[in-house]
Amino acid sequence: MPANVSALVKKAEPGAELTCRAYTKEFAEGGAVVRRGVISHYAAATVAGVTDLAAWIDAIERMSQADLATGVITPFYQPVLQVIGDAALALPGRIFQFK
Amino acid sequence: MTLTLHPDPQLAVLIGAPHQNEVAMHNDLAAMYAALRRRALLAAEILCLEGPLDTHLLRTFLAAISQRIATWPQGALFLYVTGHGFFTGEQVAEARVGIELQPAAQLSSDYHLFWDEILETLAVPPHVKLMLLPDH
Repeated sequence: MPANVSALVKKAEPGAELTCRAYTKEFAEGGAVVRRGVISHYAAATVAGVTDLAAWIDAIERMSQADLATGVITPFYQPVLQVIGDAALALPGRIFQFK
Repeated sequence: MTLTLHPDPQLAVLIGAPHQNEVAMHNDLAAMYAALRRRALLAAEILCLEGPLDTHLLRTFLAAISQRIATWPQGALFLYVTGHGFFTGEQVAEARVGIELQPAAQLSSDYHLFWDEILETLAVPPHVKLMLLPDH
Protein backbone atom coordinates (compact mmCIF):
# COMPACT_ATOMS: atom_id res chain seq x y z
CA MET A 1 0.00 0.00 0.00
CA PRO A 2 1.30 3.52 -0.73
CA ALA A 3 2.96 5.34 2.18
CA ASN A 4 0.20 7.94 2.41
CA VAL A 5 -2.54 5.32 2.81
CA SER A 6 -3.77 3.91 6.11
CA ALA A 7 -6.67 1.56 6.68
CA LEU A 8 -8.85 0.02 9.31
CA VAL A 9 -9.47 -3.51 8.07
CA LYS A 10 -10.56 -6.93 9.23
CA LYS A 11 -7.77 -8.94 10.75
CA ALA A 12 -7.29 -12.35 9.21
CA GLU A 13 -7.25 -15.22 11.65
CA PRO A 14 -3.82 -16.88 11.72
CA GLY A 15 -3.87 -19.90 9.45
CA ALA A 16 -7.36 -19.19 8.24
CA GLU A 17 -8.16 -19.56 4.58
CA LEU A 18 -8.65 -16.45 2.51
CA THR A 19 -12.21 -15.20 2.71
CA CYS A 20 -14.13 -11.98 2.32
CA ARG A 21 -16.35 -12.08 5.34
CA ALA A 22 -18.05 -8.97 6.59
CA TYR A 23 -21.44 -9.56 8.07
CA THR A 24 -24.68 -7.71 8.42
CA LYS A 25 -26.85 -8.00 11.48
CA GLU A 26 -29.93 -6.39 12.97
CA PHE A 27 -29.22 -3.89 15.74
CA ALA A 28 -31.60 -1.94 17.93
CA GLU A 29 -31.08 1.73 17.08
CA GLY A 30 -33.25 4.61 18.21
CA GLY A 31 -36.17 2.39 19.08
CA ALA A 32 -36.09 0.52 15.78
CA VAL A 33 -34.44 -2.65 14.59
CA VAL A 34 -32.10 -1.81 11.75
CA ARG A 35 -29.96 -4.08 9.60
CA ARG A 36 -26.39 -2.87 9.49
CA GLY A 37 -22.97 -3.97 8.46
CA VAL A 38 -21.38 -5.08 11.70
CA ILE A 39 -18.12 -3.20 11.17
CA SER A 40 -20.05 -0.16 9.99
CA HIS A 41 -22.31 -0.25 13.03
CA TYR A 42 -19.43 -0.10 15.48
CA ALA A 43 -17.36 2.27 13.36
CA ALA A 44 -20.13 4.84 13.02
CA ALA A 45 -21.14 4.52 16.67
CA THR A 46 -17.65 5.34 17.89
CA VAL A 47 -16.13 7.67 15.31
CA ALA A 48 -17.59 10.89 16.70
CA GLY A 49 -15.57 10.72 19.90
CA VAL A 50 -12.10 9.66 18.82
CA THR A 51 -9.13 11.47 17.40
CA ASP A 52 -7.08 8.96 15.42
CA LEU A 53 -7.12 5.45 13.99
CA ALA A 54 -5.62 3.88 17.12
CA ALA A 55 -8.27 5.43 19.32
CA TRP A 56 -10.97 4.41 16.85
CA ILE A 57 -10.03 0.74 16.84
CA ASP A 58 -9.81 0.81 20.65
CA ALA A 59 -13.28 2.32 20.90
CA ILE A 60 -14.70 -0.28 18.49
CA GLU A 61 -13.14 -3.09 20.50
CA ARG A 62 -14.46 -1.71 23.80
CA MET A 63 -17.99 -1.29 22.47
CA SER A 64 -18.12 -4.69 20.78
CA GLN A 65 -16.68 -6.35 23.89
CA ALA A 66 -19.41 -4.72 25.97
CA ASP A 67 -22.04 -5.90 23.50
CA LEU A 68 -20.57 -9.38 23.60
CA ALA A 69 -20.73 -9.39 27.38
CA THR A 70 -24.38 -8.37 27.38
CA GLY A 71 -25.43 -10.74 24.60
CA VAL A 72 -26.08 -8.11 21.94
CA ILE A 73 -23.71 -9.99 19.65
CA THR A 74 -22.20 -13.44 19.66
CA PRO A 75 -18.47 -14.07 19.16
CA PHE A 76 -19.26 -14.86 15.51
CA TYR A 77 -20.15 -11.23 14.88
CA GLN A 78 -17.47 -9.56 16.95
CA PRO A 79 -15.30 -7.48 14.62
CA VAL A 80 -11.58 -8.16 14.87
CA LEU A 81 -9.82 -5.28 13.18
CA GLN A 82 -6.34 -3.99 12.61
CA VAL A 83 -4.76 -0.76 11.49
CA ILE A 84 -2.56 -0.90 8.43
CA GLY A 85 -0.35 2.13 8.07
CA ASP A 86 -0.26 5.10 10.42
CA ALA A 87 -2.29 4.40 13.56
CA ALA A 88 -1.74 7.99 14.72
CA LEU A 89 -3.41 9.39 11.62
CA ALA A 90 -6.03 11.96 12.64
CA LEU A 91 -9.60 11.23 11.64
CA PRO A 92 -11.41 13.78 9.50
CA GLY A 93 -13.46 16.44 11.18
CA ARG A 94 -13.03 19.14 13.76
CA ILE A 95 -13.05 17.62 17.21
CA PHE A 96 -13.05 19.46 20.50
CA GLN A 97 -12.86 17.24 23.58
CA PHE A 98 -12.71 18.62 27.09
CA LYS A 99 -11.68 16.07 29.69
CA MET B 1 -8.42 18.86 26.93
CA THR B 2 -7.90 17.54 23.44
CA LEU B 3 -8.13 19.75 20.43
CA THR B 4 -7.83 18.29 16.96
CA LEU B 5 -8.21 20.50 13.97
CA HIS B 6 -7.74 19.88 10.29
CA PRO B 7 -6.60 23.19 8.83
CA ASP B 8 -5.94 21.42 5.56
CA PRO B 9 -8.65 20.45 3.07
CA GLN B 10 -10.49 17.27 3.89
CA LEU B 11 -13.09 15.14 2.21
CA ALA B 12 -15.07 12.08 3.24
CA VAL B 13 -16.29 9.76 0.50
CA LEU B 14 -18.99 7.28 1.46
CA ILE B 15 -19.92 4.47 -0.92
CA GLY B 16 -22.76 2.03 -0.43
CA ALA B 17 -22.85 -0.89 -2.85
CA PRO B 18 -25.77 -3.17 -2.06
CA HIS B 19 -26.64 -6.30 -3.95
CA GLN B 20 -30.25 -6.35 -5.15
CA ASN B 21 -32.58 -5.13 -2.41
CA GLU B 22 -30.23 -5.08 0.56
CA VAL B 23 -30.91 -2.24 2.97
CA ALA B 24 -27.95 -2.53 5.34
CA MET B 25 -25.66 -0.43 3.13
CA HIS B 26 -28.11 2.47 2.98
CA ASN B 27 -28.45 2.37 6.76
CA ASP B 28 -24.67 2.24 7.08
CA LEU B 29 -24.19 5.28 4.89
CA ALA B 30 -26.81 7.29 6.76
CA ALA B 31 -25.21 6.43 10.10
CA MET B 32 -21.68 7.25 8.94
CA TYR B 33 -22.83 10.51 7.40
CA ALA B 34 -24.49 11.55 10.67
CA ALA B 35 -21.44 10.51 12.68
CA LEU B 36 -19.08 12.53 10.50
CA ARG B 37 -21.35 15.56 10.78
CA ARG B 38 -21.07 15.16 14.56
CA ARG B 39 -17.32 15.45 14.04
CA ALA B 40 -18.10 18.87 12.55
CA LEU B 41 -17.30 17.80 9.02
CA LEU B 42 -19.21 20.12 6.72
CA ALA B 43 -21.93 18.71 4.46
CA ALA B 44 -19.90 19.95 1.51
CA GLU B 45 -17.00 17.84 2.74
CA ILE B 46 -18.96 14.58 2.53
CA LEU B 47 -19.72 12.92 -0.81
CA CYS B 48 -21.99 9.88 -1.02
CA LEU B 49 -22.65 7.34 -3.74
CA GLU B 50 -25.01 4.45 -3.18
CA GLY B 51 -27.34 2.14 -5.03
CA PRO B 52 -26.92 -0.41 -7.81
CA LEU B 53 -23.42 0.37 -9.03
CA ASP B 54 -21.22 -0.88 -11.81
CA THR B 55 -17.54 -0.29 -12.35
CA HIS B 56 -18.07 2.45 -14.93
CA LEU B 57 -20.22 4.48 -12.53
CA LEU B 58 -17.87 3.96 -9.61
CA ARG B 59 -14.77 4.77 -11.65
CA THR B 60 -16.42 7.94 -12.94
CA PHE B 61 -17.26 8.98 -9.37
CA LEU B 62 -13.71 8.24 -8.20
CA ALA B 63 -12.25 10.13 -11.14
CA ALA B 64 -14.31 13.19 -10.19
CA ILE B 65 -12.92 12.96 -6.67
CA SER B 66 -9.44 12.62 -8.08
CA GLN B 67 -9.92 15.85 -10.00
CA ARG B 68 -11.19 17.60 -6.87
CA ILE B 69 -8.15 16.66 -4.79
CA ALA B 70 -5.55 16.81 -7.55
CA THR B 71 -4.33 20.27 -6.59
CA TRP B 72 -4.30 19.76 -2.83
CA PRO B 73 -0.77 20.30 -1.54
CA GLN B 74 -1.81 18.33 1.54
CA GLY B 75 -5.02 17.25 3.23
CA ALA B 76 -7.06 14.25 4.29
CA LEU B 77 -9.32 11.93 2.31
CA PHE B 78 -11.50 9.38 4.08
CA LEU B 79 -12.91 6.59 1.90
CA TYR B 80 -15.55 4.33 3.38
CA VAL B 81 -17.13 1.46 1.48
CA THR B 82 -19.96 -0.76 2.68
CA GLY B 83 -20.85 -3.63 0.39
CA HIS B 84 -19.47 -6.95 -0.72
CA GLY B 85 -15.89 -7.97 -1.23
CA PHE B 86 -14.16 -10.49 -3.40
CA PHE B 87 -10.61 -11.60 -3.94
CA THR B 88 -8.41 -13.48 -6.34
CA GLY B 89 -5.47 -15.63 -5.35
CA GLU B 90 -5.17 -18.44 -2.86
CA GLN B 91 -2.45 -17.13 -0.54
CA VAL B 92 -2.49 -13.94 1.51
CA ALA B 93 0.70 -12.72 -0.15
CA GLU B 94 -0.75 -12.96 -3.64
CA ALA B 95 -4.34 -12.03 -2.83
CA ARG B 96 -5.96 -9.18 -4.73
CA VAL B 97 -9.01 -7.79 -2.99
CA GLY B 98 -11.82 -5.70 -4.38
CA ILE B 99 -15.47 -4.74 -4.28
CA GLU B 100 -18.16 -6.85 -5.91
CA LEU B 101 -20.74 -4.31 -7.01
CA GLN B 102 -23.31 -6.83 -8.17
CA PRO B 103 -23.53 -10.60 -7.76
CA ALA B 104 -21.52 -12.30 -10.46
CA ALA B 105 -20.60 -15.91 -10.84
CA GLN B 106 -17.35 -15.02 -12.55
CA LEU B 107 -14.90 -12.16 -12.43
CA SER B 108 -16.52 -9.36 -14.39
CA SER B 109 -15.04 -6.04 -15.46
CA ASP B 110 -18.55 -4.61 -15.12
CA TYR B 111 -19.09 -5.58 -11.50
CA HIS B 112 -15.72 -6.22 -9.88
CA LEU B 113 -13.29 -3.46 -9.01
CA PHE B 114 -10.02 -4.21 -7.26
CA TRP B 115 -8.74 -1.96 -4.50
CA ASP B 116 -5.53 -1.32 -6.41
CA GLU B 117 -7.69 -0.06 -9.29
CA ILE B 118 -9.59 2.18 -6.88
CA LEU B 119 -6.34 3.67 -5.58
CA GLU B 120 -5.04 4.08 -9.11
CA THR B 121 -8.20 5.93 -10.16
CA LEU B 122 -8.13 8.17 -7.10
CA ALA B 123 -4.47 9.07 -7.73
CA VAL B 124 -4.19 10.66 -4.29
CA PRO B 125 -1.42 13.28 -4.26
CA PRO B 126 1.57 12.13 -2.20
CA HIS B 127 1.11 14.65 0.62
CA VAL B 128 -2.60 13.94 1.01
CA LYS B 129 -3.37 11.28 3.64
CA LEU B 130 -5.86 8.64 2.58
CA MET B 131 -7.75 6.70 5.24
CA LEU B 132 -9.71 3.61 4.19
CA LEU B 133 -12.54 1.86 5.98
CA PRO B 134 -13.84 -1.09 3.96
CA ASP B 135 -16.81 -3.00 5.33
CA HIS B 136 -17.09 -5.87 2.91
